[in-house]
Amino acid sequence: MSENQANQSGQPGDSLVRPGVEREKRAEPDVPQEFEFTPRKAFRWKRVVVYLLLFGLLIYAFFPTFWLLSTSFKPQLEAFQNPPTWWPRNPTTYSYGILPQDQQGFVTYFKNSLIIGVCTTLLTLLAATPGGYVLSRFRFRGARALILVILATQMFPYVTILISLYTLFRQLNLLNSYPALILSFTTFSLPFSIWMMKGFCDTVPTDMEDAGRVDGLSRLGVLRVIVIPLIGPGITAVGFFAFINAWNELLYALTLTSSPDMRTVPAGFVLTYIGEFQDRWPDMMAASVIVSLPIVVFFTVFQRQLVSGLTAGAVKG
Amino acid sequence: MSELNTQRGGFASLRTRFPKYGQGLDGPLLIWILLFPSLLLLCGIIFYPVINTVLLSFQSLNLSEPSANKWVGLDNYGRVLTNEVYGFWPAVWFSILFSATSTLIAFVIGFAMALVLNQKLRFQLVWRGLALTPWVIPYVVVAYLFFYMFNSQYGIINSILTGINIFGWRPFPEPLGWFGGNGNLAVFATIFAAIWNKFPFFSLMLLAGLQTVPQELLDAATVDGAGVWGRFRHITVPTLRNIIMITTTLQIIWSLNEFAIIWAMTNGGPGTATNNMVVHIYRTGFIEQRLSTAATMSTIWLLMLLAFTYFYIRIMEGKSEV
Repeated sequence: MSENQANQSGQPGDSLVRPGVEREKRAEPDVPQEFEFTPRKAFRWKRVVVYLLLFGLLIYAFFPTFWLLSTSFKPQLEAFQNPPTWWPRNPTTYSYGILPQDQQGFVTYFKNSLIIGVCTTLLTLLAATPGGYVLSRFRFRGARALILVILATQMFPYVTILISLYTLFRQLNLLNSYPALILSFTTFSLPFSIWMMKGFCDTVPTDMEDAGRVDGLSRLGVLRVIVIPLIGPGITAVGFFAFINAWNELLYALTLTSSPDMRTVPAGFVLTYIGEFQDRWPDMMAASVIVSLPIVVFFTVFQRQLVSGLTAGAVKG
Repeated sequence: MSELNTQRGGFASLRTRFPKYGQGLDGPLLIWILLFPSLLLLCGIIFYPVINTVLLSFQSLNLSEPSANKWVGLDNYGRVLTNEVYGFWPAVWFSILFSATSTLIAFVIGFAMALVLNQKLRFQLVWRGLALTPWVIPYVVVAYLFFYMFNSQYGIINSILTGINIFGWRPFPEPLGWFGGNGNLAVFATIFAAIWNKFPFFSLMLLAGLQTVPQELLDAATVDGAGVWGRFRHITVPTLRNIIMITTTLQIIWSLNEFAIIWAMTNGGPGTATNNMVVHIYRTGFIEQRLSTAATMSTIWLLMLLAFTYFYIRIMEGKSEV
C-alpha cells in the first residue's frame, strides 16, 4: 500500500527528474574518459616504480640468504678467495655430506634443540591456551591485575631471571638437563603467548559458545567441542612463536649447560664452530641451512594461520 | 543493521538466563583450573627468580668463592651506578642506540616492503615468501652469516665496497676492518645484521594491517584528487596507527634485550664497543663470575624497562578498549 502511494505521489515529479537524468547521460562520455585516462597513465608509471622497489628490496632481503646457500656448496678453499666467487666454481655437497657423521656434534645439537623446542612449545601451549582463553572470556576479581602483571612480565629482561635460575638449578643439580632448559626457555615465551592467546580469543565471537551452552553443554564441553577448533589458528601461532624462540635461544643455553652432550644448536654453533672449526665456513653454512630449514618450511606452510594469530589482537583492535 | 542489533540483544538476554558463573566445574573452579598452569609457571620460573635476583643484588656473591657471600646492603648499587670501572652507563647507551636505530630503520624498510607487497603483483606469494624468510632464520645463523660477509680479508661486503668506482672516485680504496679499531664499524655491522633479521616482522604485521585499509576510502580520496602521498598520509597511516605503535614498541623492547646476534658476532667487542646490557651482564656474572654485581645491574635494568613498560601497557590497553 505505502509503496503504491509513494509511486503515485512520485509520478507528477517524473518530468522534473528527467532533465537531470538526461544531463547525467550526456555527461557520461566525458567523465569516464577523464577517469580512465589519468589512472592508466599513473598506473603504468606506478607499476614501474613498484617493480623497481620490489627488485631492490628483494635483493636486500634475499642476498644474505643467497650467500648462505652459495657458500654452503663451495669447497673449503674457495670460501677464502678474495675477491669471493658469486657462484661456487666447483660446487660440492661435501659440507652437507659430513653433517650426519656428527664430527662437530651437529646431530647431537640438532636432536637436543628438537626435543627442547617441542617440549617448550607443548608446555607453553598447555599453560597459555587455557590461560589466554580465561582472561579473554571471564570477568573475575583480579583479572585486570593479572593481565597487567602478564604485560609487565613480558618486559622483564631474561637476564634478570637467568641469574637466579642459574643458582636455583645449580642447587637442585639440574644444570645440564633437559628440564632446566625446557623450563627456562618457557619463561620468555609464556607471557607473550598468554597475551597473544587472549588477543586471539577476543576476536572469536562468543555466539557459538552461547549456543553450545543453550544446547546443554557444560563449560568444559563447550571448551572441548567448540572453543578448541575455533582457536586453532591462534594455537598454531602461539606454538610457532614458542618454538622459534626456543630454537633461537642462546643466552640460557650457554649458561645452563656445560657439557657438549646437552648443547642446543645455537650454543653448539657458538662454542664449536667459532672455536675448533673457526675456518670451516662452508661446513658452518651447510649446518646453518639445515638448521634454518625446519622453521622456513613451517613458516611457509602455516603462514596464513600465523599471521592471523599474530595480528588478531593488534590489527582488528 | 537493526537486525544484527536485535540478535545481539537476544544473546545478551540468553546470557542472563544462563549466567557465566555456575557451580563447581561450570564456575569459578573451572576458571582457576584453567589458569593454574599459567599461574604456576609465572610464579615458579619468573617471579620467584626475579625476587631472588633482587635479593642477590644486596649480597656479595662471587661464584669463584661462594662461601664468602654476605649481605652488603646498597653497596653494589652505589658502585655500579657511580664507578666507571663497572661499565654500566656505556652499556645502557649502547643498548638504547642499538635498539632505537635497528628498530627505526627496520620499520622503514619493513613498511616499504609491506606497501610494495600489498600491490597486485604477479607471483605475489613467491615474493612474499622470499621477502619474509630473514625473520625465521635463527639469530645465530644471521650473526655468523654477517660475520662472514663482513670479514675484512675475504668478505663479500668489503669486496663490493672496494669495487665501487664512480668515474675514478673510489670511496673505499682500502678494505675496512669491520671488527677491529675503535669499534664504530662493529657497532654498524651488528645493527646492520639486526635490521636484516627484524624488518620482515614489520612487513608481516603491516601487510596484514594494510589489507584492512578500506578500499572505498582510498577510491574516494582518489576521486577527491588526493595523490599517492596524500592517501598514504591521511588514510593508510591513521588506519595502521595501532599496529604501528604496538609493533615498534614490542620490537624496541625485544631489541633492548638482544643477546644472540651481538654475542655471536662480536662477543661485545672490540673491547666493550658492542656491549649491550645483556651481553654486559652475561660477561660480568658468568664469565667474570661476579654474580651479585650482575644481579645489581640487571635489577637496575629491570626497573628502567618497567618504566618504559608503563607506556607500553597504556598503548596496549588503549588498543583493547577500542
